[in-house]
Formats: sequence, structure tokens, C-alpha cells
Amino acid sequence: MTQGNSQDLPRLWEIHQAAAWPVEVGSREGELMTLDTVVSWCAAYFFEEHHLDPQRVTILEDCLSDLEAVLPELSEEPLDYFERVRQLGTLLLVAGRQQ
Amino acid sequence: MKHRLATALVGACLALSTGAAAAEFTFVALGDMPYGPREQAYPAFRTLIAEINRRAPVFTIHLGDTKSGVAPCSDRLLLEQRDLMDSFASALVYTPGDNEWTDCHRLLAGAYDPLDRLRFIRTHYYPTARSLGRQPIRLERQADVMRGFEPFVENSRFHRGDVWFVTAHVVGSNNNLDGPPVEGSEAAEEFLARDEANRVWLADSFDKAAAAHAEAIVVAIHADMFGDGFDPQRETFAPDSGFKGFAETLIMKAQSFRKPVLLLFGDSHEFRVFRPFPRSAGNLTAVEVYGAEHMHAVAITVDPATPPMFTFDPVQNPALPALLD
Repeated sequence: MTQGNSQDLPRLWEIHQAAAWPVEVGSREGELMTLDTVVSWCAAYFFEEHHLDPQRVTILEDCLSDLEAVLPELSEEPLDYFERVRQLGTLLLVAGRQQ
Repeated sequence: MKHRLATALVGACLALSTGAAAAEFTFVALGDMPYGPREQAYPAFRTLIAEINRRAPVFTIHLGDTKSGVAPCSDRLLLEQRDLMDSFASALVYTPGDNEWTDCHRLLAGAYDPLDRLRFIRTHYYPTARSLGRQPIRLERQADVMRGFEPFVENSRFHRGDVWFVTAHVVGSNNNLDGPPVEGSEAAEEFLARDEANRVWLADSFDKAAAAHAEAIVVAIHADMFGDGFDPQRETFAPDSGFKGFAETLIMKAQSFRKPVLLLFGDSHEFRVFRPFPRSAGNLTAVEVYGAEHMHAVAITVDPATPPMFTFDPVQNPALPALLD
């Protein structure tokens, strides 16, 4: 699932909820935990409310921007995990704006 | 497997301040309630307390503002709020807000001397080194462990396994800083003394937590520091912000701690989870809880063994409309 569309969201969220935290995250683990926490909070809100409000859109955009900057530094295992976070966030933004 | 949205709550085992092995647990945070006339506000708040008790969190943190800014700051009302806190089935850890003391000078609030109200709160909410609630927990208080900071009985810390909890008395209304501190002014002296106490307490708590190899630190305050006076682009605070010193200490200590830091606060009554300092302290997640309008709470599940460690679930008040934002 590399591109995906908003119909993939529930499945992607399910996969992410079940995924184990990567082992070799490196020195930016704390920052990555925060990014994951905040994106996941937006996802939980979206699946409850079926939309994202402007404040959450802004928060999500900020997270994705910072995630893009971190991704090139990650090794393969954490990269898979955080690519999924990025994809989840991107699809949430698209779906959230459509509601 | 992660338990990101786990709702099964751990029972009220209050073996806090132990080095117990990492285990998932859930606590609750709320603040800025109950507001309004007793006849309306108290029944609704009691319903929320009953719902929280039903879920059996290991403890609850009240983040201050136990009454509206225009409700009278009478002894009676302040004692009623304390008694409501004592009706939580497990432990209730309380950090004060501005409504119950700094704003008490307002005519509608009874034109009280704020410092007199602060003394009253310290006397009646913090008589011993134990929390409120029906199963109080033992707290380590700044007043008891730091010479020179004896008045600050409300600044406390405790830990559950490898997760440390720290309360600091940082309140809305710009932390009781009304313009540049004026030498000789009681309010200014109060602000300066409390701000120093908070910064020292926070720094010491981070140092002790790091030395104890804590996996995460939760900081609980009342104030929303991220309104006027905060520049989110630069992640800096204006010189006249009453939060500048505390926030800079928080950023510095969170940076060096590196592991997850959770900042809990209330004040603006809007449930949100965000990163206030993505560049200077990217490991810090901020959570603001609901307030009086919704009168909901937030359940926070902590799983030290399973990053990203913190998950958040609304605890909706059955007495009020179910609103998530």
C-alpha cells in the first residue's frame, strides 16, 4: 500500500494499531513517538467523528511536514513503520477535507 | 501488539512510588470544572465522577479551576470542591488554577485577597503529603524536600513504575503576572517566588527521573501557555509572559531527557493533543483537557513497554451531550 486512497484508511489504521514499534529507531525516538502519538490521535478522532476540524488539520499538516524531514534518516525497519504513519496522515488529511 | 485504543482499565492498584516492572495502566485527567450554579453543575459533575469511578483508573489528576472565575471564592465553595475531589474512588491529585485564587479579587468572585485564598487552599487541600480521593497516594512535595521552598505544598511528584508524574503550580491569567513585576508588590513577589519554585521543582524532578532511568515524565499544570505571548513559529515566549521561565526550563529539560514527555494542562477548555515545541523539544506531547462546557474527562493509557507509550480516550459525561471537541 504505497499510494492508497481514503478507502484504504480503515485498513491502514487497523494495520498500524497492530504494528509493533520498530526496534532500531535511533536517536530521534522521542520525537518519533510524539509524531506517532499525535497522528494517531487525529486518526482516532476521524474514525469517531468522520471529519477533521481545522485545528486538527493544522496539527496533522505540521506532523507530516516534520515527518517528511525525518524519514530520510531512518533505516529500513523504522522507515516502513513511519512511511505508514505518513501515509495514514496524508489520507486522513484528504478524507478529513472531503467531509 | 499495541493497545492504542485500549479501553480496559487497570484496577485501582495504588502501589505508587514503587519500582514495579513496566505495566500498562490508565489514569484520568480533567480540569476547569464544575462551573455554574450548584443545582446544575454539581449533579453533572457527580455523574462524571461516577463514570470515572466505574472505569477505575489508578488515579485522577484535576488540573485546576475548580470553579468559574465569577463564582464566589468563599470558604464554603472551596471546601465543597475539595469534598467533591474526595469523592473520587481512587486517588485525586490536584494542582490549583487561577479561578480559585488569583482571580478572586473580582467583585463577582467576592473581592477576596488572592493571597488569602491561596493560603486557604494550601491549608485545606494540602494538609499532608497525601493526595485527595478515597484511596489517597503518598506524594513527595517540594515543601518537604527542598529547603527554602516550604510554602509550596502543592508542587508534588510521584511515580508509577518507570513513569514519573510532576505537578507544578502554573496557572492561567498569565500565571498571576499582571505586567512587569513591581518591586514591593505582593502579587509580584508571589509570582516571582512561585515561578522560581516551579522552575527549580521541574528541573529537579527531571534530573531525579533521569537518574532513576525513568521511561517517561508527565508534567501537570493548569495554564494554557500557548495563547498570547507564545510564538509557535519560533517556539519562544514574550518577555512579559508569565510562562516564559517555566516553559524554557521545560524545553531545556525535555531536550536533555530525550524520552517521551507529556504535558497536561487545562485553562482553555479544548481537548487537543499536539506538539508545542516540535523543533526545540520534539519529544514533548501536550494534551489539553476538556473544560466546563463539555464536562468530559480524558483517560490516558500508559504502556511503558510499548511505544509510543501514551494513548488518549475521551471519558464522556453521561449527563451531557457527547461532544468530542
